[in-house]
Amino acid sequence: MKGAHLGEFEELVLLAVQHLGDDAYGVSVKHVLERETTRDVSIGAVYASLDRLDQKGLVRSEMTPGAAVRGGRSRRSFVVSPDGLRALREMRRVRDRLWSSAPAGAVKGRS
Amino acid sequence: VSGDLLELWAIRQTSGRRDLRRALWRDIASIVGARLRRPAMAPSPHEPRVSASRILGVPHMWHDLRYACRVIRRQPAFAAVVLVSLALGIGANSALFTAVNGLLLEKVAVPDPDALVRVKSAGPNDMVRSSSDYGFNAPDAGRRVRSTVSFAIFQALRAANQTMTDLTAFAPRGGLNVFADGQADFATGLEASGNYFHTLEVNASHGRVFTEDDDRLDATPVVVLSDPYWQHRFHGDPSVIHRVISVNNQRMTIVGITPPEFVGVQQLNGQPPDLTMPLAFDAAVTTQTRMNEPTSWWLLLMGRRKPGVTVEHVQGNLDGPFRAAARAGMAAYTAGLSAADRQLSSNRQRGTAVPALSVSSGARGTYDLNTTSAQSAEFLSVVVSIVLLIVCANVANLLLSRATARQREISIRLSMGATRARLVRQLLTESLLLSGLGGACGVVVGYWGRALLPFGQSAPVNWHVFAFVAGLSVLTGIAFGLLPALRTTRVDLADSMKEGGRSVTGTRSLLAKGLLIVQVALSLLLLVGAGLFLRTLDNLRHVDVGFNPTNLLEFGLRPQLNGYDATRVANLYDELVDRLSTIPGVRSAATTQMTLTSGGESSSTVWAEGHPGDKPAEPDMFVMTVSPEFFKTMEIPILTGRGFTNHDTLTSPKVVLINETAARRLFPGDNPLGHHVGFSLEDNAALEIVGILRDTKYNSIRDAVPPTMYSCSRQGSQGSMQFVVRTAADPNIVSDAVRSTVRQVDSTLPLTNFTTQADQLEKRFAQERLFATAYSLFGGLALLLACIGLFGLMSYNVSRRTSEIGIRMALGAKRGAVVRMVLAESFLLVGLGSACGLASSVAAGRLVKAVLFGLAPTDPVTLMSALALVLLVAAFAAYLPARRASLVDPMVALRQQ
Repeated sequence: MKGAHLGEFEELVLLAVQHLGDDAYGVSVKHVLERETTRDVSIGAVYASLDRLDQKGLVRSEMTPGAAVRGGRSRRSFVVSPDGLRALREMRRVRDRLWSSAPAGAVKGRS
Repeated sequence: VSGDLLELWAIRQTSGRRDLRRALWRDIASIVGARLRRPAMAPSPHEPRVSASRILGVPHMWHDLRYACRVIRRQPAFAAVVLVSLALGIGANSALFTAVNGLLLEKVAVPDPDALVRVKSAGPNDMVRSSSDYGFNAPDAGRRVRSTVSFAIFQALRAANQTMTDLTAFAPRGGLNVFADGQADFATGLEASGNYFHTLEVNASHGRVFTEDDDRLDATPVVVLSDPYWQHRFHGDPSVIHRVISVNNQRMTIVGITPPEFVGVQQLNGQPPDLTMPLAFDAAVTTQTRMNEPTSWWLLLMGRRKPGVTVEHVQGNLDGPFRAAARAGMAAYTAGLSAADRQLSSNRQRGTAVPALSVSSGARGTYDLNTTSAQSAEFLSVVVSIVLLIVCANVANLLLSRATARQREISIRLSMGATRARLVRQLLTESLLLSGLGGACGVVVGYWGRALLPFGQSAPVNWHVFAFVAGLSVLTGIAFGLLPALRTTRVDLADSMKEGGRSVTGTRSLLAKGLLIVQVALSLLLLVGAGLFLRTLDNLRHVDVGFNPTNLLEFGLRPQLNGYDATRVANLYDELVDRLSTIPGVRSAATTQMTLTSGGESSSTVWAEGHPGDKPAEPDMFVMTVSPEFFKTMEIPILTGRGFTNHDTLTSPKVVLINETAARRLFPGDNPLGHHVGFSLEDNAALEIVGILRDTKYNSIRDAVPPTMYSCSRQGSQGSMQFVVRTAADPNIVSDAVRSTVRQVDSTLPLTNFTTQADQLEKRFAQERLFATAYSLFGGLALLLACIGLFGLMSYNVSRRTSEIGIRMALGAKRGAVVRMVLAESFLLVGLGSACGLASSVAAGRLVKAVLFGLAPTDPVTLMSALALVLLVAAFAAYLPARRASLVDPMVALRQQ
């Protein structure tokens, strides 16, 4: 993906999808994010990000059969695409580089 | 998504959360919000598609719309004023459109209405001796059109038919006495050939419709009820099917109910007949059947074209057989006459004209829109369009004045790089949002308002109406939004950014002044209309009808429908007149074949004994049959001679009374008393004139009194009669006593047309009243809007010229002079508007001439009163700002400079 740009929330959503493996869909992504960030995440925001990631080609989605708890309704499951993995790795590399080159005091001061 | 929402619900439920619903709504809101926000997002480089919506600026549109919402919310008072005016303007238009749509654009409620053809005849017709028609037929190229044919012609046409799947005949039967569940009432009926429902492709909603098998004399008599009648008479009880009821003393079995939307095919918007029955039972429910009368034309025809067949094909197929059958009918009648009858002048002078068949589309029903409704629609569309114009002018003015307040915002946006087109679009979006909201309110106003229109009550509100309102709203929004938007965005940046800059004020005032002149002119036009219609109504109400219309109660009875023979009918009427006269509060009672000014007419040719030549003395004499007490009850003075007495009986010499007009026309310069007249040349001495009555209006209040002749009901057979009851005070007080008196004599007799003479007269003025109300209401509203506009404009001008006025006063101008200056400016505008208004009123006057009564469209009193009203209200609106100007303190004003 050339010039893929990830917003902060999009990056978190993409990571959550990666973390969830085969079980990534709207509700599970919302739960992971709420658990890990300890803040309220609206389901609408999750959908919006997943749609954007899908359009950017960073995730792929398919409809899978639903469980009883959903009234048997099918669900849209997401997996991270190869482009998405590449984008995540690229993000991480950028961050690691910046972290390793940051002076210790500045890091402490910001935390 | 719905699965996810269900899952979230379940998870929250198991974790014991209480606010499940609220959480669900929050989820839904967040999803909707996220979806809506997306188009407005900065375009991502990863979305290279360039969609059509992007080019058209759809993302901006959403943005504009949200911005417009915020702007409108910020000024709720402004928005409220605009919305109320728009709702009234668009509402009035949509009400009228709904009604007119029902009249003009709808089609009859049967499957494939376009295939229906109505079969009529046009041109002079000597093949008919008695005929009925039940609605309005628009003339065909100047020729009189008749909608009915005889039963024999119907049979001939049906036999000759090759172009239609079938042809059905039907005729309304005005009054039926229905007795069911121990209760008598009066119902309307329709007799139709057995193929009626099959031809129209209408099925029953309950039970079944009747068929050809039911339309035979040896079949069990059956009847189909209309849905409204079934609902109100039998409370929608489905078990009425197979119940036997009595219709004019004939036992008939209810077999089905027609669907609610089916109102028959006579005309759109009509009331369905309560009962529909096969034609074969005509003789059973009437005293005189016309089935075997070849020269009696009374049946309406409706056919259904075969696929691929045109109206012209049907015409070509049936014209020949129609003419032949019409001629055969007259020939059969003449052949049946005795030698003596054949010598009668009426039979000797018979013409030979045969009308032509006239086939046309029956999609809108048998009958045409009558001229009164068309005229009402026309006059009201003028008023509602003017109201909308005024509303547009007013809202445009409001927007202009607000634009001044937004000048700085606009300037900043322009200087930040916004294009003018972009800003115009933004401002137009606001206008369209306002007009859209106004349109939505307008639909509601229109829905309620259509009931006020004489032909709008049952008009459907369907997609036609919504499309009309949507289109109208867009047009309105552009009409009032475009000019202000263009004006507002034409800004000299450098100037207007400065505090107090007023670069656009000059042009704004010019445009605003123009709009104000238009408003004043249009309000004056409406007020002149209101004045003309109000005075017409007043003139009509004060017409001397020739009798005393107050404290008169009227109702009708049709005992012969219940099998009363002539003797019983006469006895019944005598007994009722006696009993009614003894009710406390009743002065006298009488019977008459028809009440005066009721809308009914009966006229005849009259010959006079000794009248030169074999020409009738009066070709169009209006006739009435009344009981002896009639003149006393109606308070019609007998000028000379005598009235009818109880000595005028079936066996005594026949006597008549005539009115002054008839006396003048029949016997100019001679005393008519003792002269003899008759209804045919041979019979011209049958009736002796014994008295002359004062002139009274007969049917129309507007027309001159027609020559009228009264004969005595005791000297002939009495059919259905109307009762007139003169009361000492308000007739409504005794109405219960009158009803119970009739019930005591025969409880199975329903009373019809129960009303008072005053109400009946008032009903005749319904159209005039409607015009007067509509024009007064909207004229007043228009004047109010115009004056608010004038007040706003002058206040604005005064505040703008504060310093100028201050200088004038500092230089010695008196307060009075300042007031005069401001007033003069206002009156220049109002004067210009009034001049335009007066000119257009005079020009439009000839259009309303036919509706006016007792005054000319250029009636100076009306014109001057309307003008005076406008000037008076305008003076008040202009005085307030003028006074404020005169109170300017020169020192304060100069310091401001």
